[in-house]
Amino acid sequence: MSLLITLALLLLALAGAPLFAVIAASAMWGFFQNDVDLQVMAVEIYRVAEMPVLIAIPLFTFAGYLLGESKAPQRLVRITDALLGWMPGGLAIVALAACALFTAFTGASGVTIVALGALLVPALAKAGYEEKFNLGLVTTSGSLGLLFAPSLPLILYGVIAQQMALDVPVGIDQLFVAGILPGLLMLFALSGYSAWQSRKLPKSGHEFDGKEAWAAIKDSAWEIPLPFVVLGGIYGGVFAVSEAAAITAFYVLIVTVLIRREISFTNLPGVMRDSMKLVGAILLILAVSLASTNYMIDAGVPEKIFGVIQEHISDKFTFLLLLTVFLLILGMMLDIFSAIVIMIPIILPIAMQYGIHPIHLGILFLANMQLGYFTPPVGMNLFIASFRFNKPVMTLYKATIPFFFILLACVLVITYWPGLSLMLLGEG
Amino acid sequence: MSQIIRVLHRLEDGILVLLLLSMIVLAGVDILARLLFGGGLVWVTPLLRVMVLWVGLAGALVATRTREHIAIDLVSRLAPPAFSRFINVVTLAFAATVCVLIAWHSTIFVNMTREFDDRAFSDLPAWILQAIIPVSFGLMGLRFALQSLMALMGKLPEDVEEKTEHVGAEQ
Amino acid sequence: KIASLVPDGTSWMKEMRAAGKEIEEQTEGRVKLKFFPGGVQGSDKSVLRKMRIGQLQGGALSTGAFDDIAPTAQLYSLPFTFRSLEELRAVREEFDPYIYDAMAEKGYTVLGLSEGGFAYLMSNSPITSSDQVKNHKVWVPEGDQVSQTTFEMGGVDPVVLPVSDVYTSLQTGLIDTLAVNLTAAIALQWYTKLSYVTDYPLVYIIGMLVVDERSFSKMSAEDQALVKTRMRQAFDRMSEINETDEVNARKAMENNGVEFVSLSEEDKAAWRVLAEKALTALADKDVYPTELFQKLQQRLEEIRAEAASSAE
Ligand code: NA
Ligand code: NA
Repeated sequence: MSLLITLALLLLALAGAPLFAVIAASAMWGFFQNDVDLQVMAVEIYRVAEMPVLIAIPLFTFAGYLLGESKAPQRLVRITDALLGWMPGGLAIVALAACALFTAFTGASGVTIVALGALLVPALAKAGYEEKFNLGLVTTSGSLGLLFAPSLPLILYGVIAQQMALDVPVGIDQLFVAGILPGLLMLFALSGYSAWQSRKLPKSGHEFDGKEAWAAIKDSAWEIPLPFVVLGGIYGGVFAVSEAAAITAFYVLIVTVLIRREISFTNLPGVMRDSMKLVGAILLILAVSLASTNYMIDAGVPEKIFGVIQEHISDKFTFLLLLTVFLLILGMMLDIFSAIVIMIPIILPIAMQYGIHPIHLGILFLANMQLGYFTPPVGMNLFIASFRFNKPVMTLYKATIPFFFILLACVLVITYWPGLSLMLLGEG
Repeated sequence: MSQIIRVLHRLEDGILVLLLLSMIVLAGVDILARLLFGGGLVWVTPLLRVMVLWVGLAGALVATRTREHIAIDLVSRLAPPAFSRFINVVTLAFAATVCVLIAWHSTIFVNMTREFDDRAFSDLPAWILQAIIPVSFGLMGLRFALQSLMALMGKLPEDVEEKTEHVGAEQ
Repeated sequence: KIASLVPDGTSWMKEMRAAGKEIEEQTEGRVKLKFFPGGVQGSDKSVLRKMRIGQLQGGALSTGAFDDIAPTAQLYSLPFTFRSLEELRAVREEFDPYIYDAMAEKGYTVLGLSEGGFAYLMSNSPITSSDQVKNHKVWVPEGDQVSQTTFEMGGVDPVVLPVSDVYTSLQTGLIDTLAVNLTAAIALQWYTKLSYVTDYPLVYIIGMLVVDERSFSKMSAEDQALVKTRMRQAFDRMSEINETDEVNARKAMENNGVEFVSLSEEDKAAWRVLAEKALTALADKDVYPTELFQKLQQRLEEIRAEAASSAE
């Protein structure tokens, strides 16, 4: 009977039933089997109101949507071009840097491809890059920056890990620090590839232009303080994550609506509503997965799975390899938020039994998910890019292949070298 | 009928926007108060946390209007139209059932909180803060059920009126 | 099923598990205790909700969790009530039953009160008078009305944060003063950020193991008695362990350069006056049993007088 229910739920999930309903149903079925009153669903859902870090999620999401709707993407491209454009492969590196920064702030929800891609693909074409390269670059960059603060997936991972009573505390600020080097590794690897690709191009003739740089800086005067205040504030320990989110939302709202007036008062409610729909979708999944996690803890599921795995895998090396393969498939099928709330409660206790540091696990998990965003055949960003640039998905499969292998190499480095994630924390 | 629906949608949007705006203002005021006067206001943080739940569930309710919940979109992308219509009927009916079950049990839960007269921060009755759970799930259940019926009659709109431009939200 | 915020692997949890195992053996499996440590079932309030719907049967909770249910639970948790552990132990036999009865009235069977040690004021600079606290950024736990009112009476606007945010906030300077028991200051690493302890016990920390009366009464009278006796033993052992842990924590902190600031008699008296004011304010809010508390204080005066006369 239980097997039948599991199978039915799996089918429903694959058929496109809302994931929250599938997760909720599995939790309710489990509780029902164990004679637990189903009011427990309400108790667990209400726990969303007991987690202070979650305040950051609506606030950061709203700020990201506002930035995406304003002309901030244009200014971001202009300023990075003025400052980095003179380097070999400069424009491509501009694209990567801009996308990474933008994704960190907007949470890799596809906004980057939609908002920045439209600017970058034509600019890259004009500079003489092949179309295949441009498409691959932009599609790949849509998830670059996931590992940089204040990205929502990092925050969400911290929230889940904190629910799980680990011996090692997992601070969100620690995750932010741990993500820096692995994130930079990915950024540098792709930059290197781009510079190498551009070797055949005619020299862009784009020397560093002090005047343009200054003009671009002035143009972005209102946005420039933002990363410094937010990242400086969090990394420097001036304020907590939820406070940084409040400041960001407040500041971006004032700048885009009152000062720059790029979003009118009539459009503002629409942007607010759209951003809160995404928040609703994420929090709903989180809420019901608190219930399913609670059921799993109640029933001792992670211990049972660990028992099975341990019979077959004795060493950390093999475990990590299998984990990578599993996460790649998972990242292709699931969006990052669902993947975190569904899988982390199961994977984390098991991984810790194999001696993997919970912060390292968070970073390697997200790095894998980042890859999953454009893993053929069903990575989400492939479809977004196909839709946005009006190209067949097959074209994008081919375009992203070199990028995929470069980032796969990075993911393996991140996975097998915990020090890269932990050294800035002084724990490597 | 469509008039009523439009008013309802406006109302939901209004509540959502109001919640978000007050969150931003409250959080900002709290930080200012802390920076200027040392201590923050004691009721702000717990209130903000409850507002996260409210904004989340209200946002989820609005997302249900346009079927923008996170889902694995594999089969409907590949399946032929007739089959995907059948799939829609089933998955939407399933979602409706789940929501109604949660709404039902959380109503019992909230009633119990009320009977026991539990208090939250600032002596507020806790049941008021929890009431969003049965209300939002109840309405979501209703909405999913209607959509399932529409799918059965072949009237489920493919491109919903106010589909957002943010592709991420629809996954 | 019993939940707790106490992390797994602590001596407290080990005692509980040992007691649970013995109870299971002695009742031949009729009574099985399963523990969920480390807050996996959520906050104290969330545990109480789960007890109500029957998912959990019990919880090891702080007395503050019952502030809106049974004010009597706060009897021992008011500022500057006890000046030493001996004072607390001297009154427990007489006053514990009041707490048990008040809880039973609300449908909770108390299996034991656990002694958690005194909370002391810790700060990044020496504090002797309440006036000095005004220049500090003081943390109080969320929902802790007693501490909050006490500090407010002292003219301090405390910063309210959940426990999970405290370490980071100490790092960032958002807060620089708090009240905590010494073992927790060590376990949570707070002592690495705060190097002064005002050496005057502020409040005694009490935890409570409660089970739902409905499920407890399902056991046979024999089993009930057995569980109660075995748990009482466990709590006695834990009180002993806690006492040694306290002493060790103090030593460890001193070895790590934490300074214990002693107070003059005037300073102590000034702190107590402040506490009186807070208690008056709290009496209006109905958060503690006023009459019973007066009775407790009378008893304590008698004990002190006796001790003074026997010392002469
Ligand atoms: Na969880
Ligand atoms: Na994905």
